[in-house]
Amino acid sequence: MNELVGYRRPDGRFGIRNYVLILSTVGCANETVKRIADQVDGAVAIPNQKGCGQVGDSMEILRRTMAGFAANPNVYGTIVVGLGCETNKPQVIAERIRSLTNKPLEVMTIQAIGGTVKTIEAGIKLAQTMVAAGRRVELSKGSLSEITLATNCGGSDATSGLSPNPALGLCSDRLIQAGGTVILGETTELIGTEHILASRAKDTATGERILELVQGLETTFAAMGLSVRGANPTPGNMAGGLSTLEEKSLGGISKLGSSMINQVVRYGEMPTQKGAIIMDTPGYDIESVSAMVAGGAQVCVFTTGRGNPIGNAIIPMIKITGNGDTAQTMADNIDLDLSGILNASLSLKEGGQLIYDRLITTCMGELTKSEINGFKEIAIYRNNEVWCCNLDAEEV
Amino acid sequence: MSLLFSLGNQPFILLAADMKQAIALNERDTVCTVLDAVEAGETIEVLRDGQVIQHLEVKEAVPKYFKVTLVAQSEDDEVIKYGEIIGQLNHDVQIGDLIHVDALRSIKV
Repeated sequence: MNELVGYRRPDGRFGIRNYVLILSTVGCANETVKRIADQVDGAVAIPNQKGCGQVGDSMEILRRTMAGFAANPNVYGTIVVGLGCETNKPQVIAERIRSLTNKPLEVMTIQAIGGTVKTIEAGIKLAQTMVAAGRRVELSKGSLSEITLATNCGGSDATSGLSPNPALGLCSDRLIQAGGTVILGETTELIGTEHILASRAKDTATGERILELVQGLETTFAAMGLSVRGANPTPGNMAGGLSTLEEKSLGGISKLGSSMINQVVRYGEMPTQKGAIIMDTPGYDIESVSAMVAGGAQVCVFTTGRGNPIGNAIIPMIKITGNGDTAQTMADNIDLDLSGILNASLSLKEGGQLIYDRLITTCMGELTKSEINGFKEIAIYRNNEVWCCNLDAEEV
Repeated sequence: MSLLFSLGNQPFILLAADMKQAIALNERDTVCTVLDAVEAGETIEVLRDGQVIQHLEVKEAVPKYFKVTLVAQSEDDEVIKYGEIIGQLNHDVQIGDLIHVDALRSIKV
């Protein structure tokens, strides 16, 4: 059954949730954005970690990702809120959004309106109107072939590669067979597996891009005199039984399934191909999932060993674990317990079916624990951050 | 597993816990992952696809979800899990040794 019911957007894309974004262009506008969203049910605040004092390609990453948030099919419309003097100009963001989608869009600037109190008031009225319009959109039919699934692992331990990740891979295979798209990211966690992934690429150019992606990252770390090993595997990974990055990576790539890999995209970039996609994202989960949201993912399956509670402001996060202890102790944050795979009471195939079924019911409106908890994390990756000389820095 | 025997005139039932298990996913793997904490000297059964492929005696205490080697290997030998190389050994190991960050080093980074 490949039919879903959801929201058909004027740009043709299909969404499974119906948010109005209050999108901040700079840290200075965050408090204003938060207060607007707090007062309007159906509006969600998207704060900005910076937006000013950023240089180089980190500004391009910021603009691309913010525009991607607004274009995400789970979004009915967006109100951009800025200060007025920031590097990340609200009008430039608006134009960038317009280049991706024709959905409802408003822009407000605190300095032009005259202070935060007036901006909050005007913002609340705009948001109320937009949310009301969004609620009048009739539900439409859509199909699994229009779904992009974000995949991520967080708080991994040795159970991750033995149960939830390979089971998710089976679900990914089925979604791709139905014409859908699955994104694998976290580039540091591809290290050690790039030759395997490249051999599954649809053509030589894509295979070379995979190698370029992973080897490029290793070279960057080396040039900075940093050890990837310092950050990955994490202390939690190691306490959970993972010994090397390769071991973690091999256990992680199974999330993507066994399909041919059709494209490698940049952080926050929308793929132009369907099927299995690799996106360049950091290992830091909030930034990684946020990139895939900008890339058009409407839903995420997130595997965890040690237990991770995060949600996302725009998409539902389905949390699955193969660690039976975690499924019990952190039941408030876990949606699906797959520990049965480890004691052979559940086959990998049955596990994959459970995830697939849960994916469909989530698309049809079933709330995940992260949604029930009201967790709305979202963050955009920044590079090129060298603003201090870092006096008296110690070697880590 | 249980044993029934007699001590003097009294029947005795000795209940032994079911043997602890470990998983080795791929037939090329040189390590298995234990599904429960194991004490030094305990014998475990190693499963692949639900079938028991090997028994081994664990040489030292192994925390839950950590790895134990299935074969004896020498320093600098490659350790295989998921059918692929996950690192190289820092010293010789015998069957049943714990394999974690002291014994195993990354090749890639």
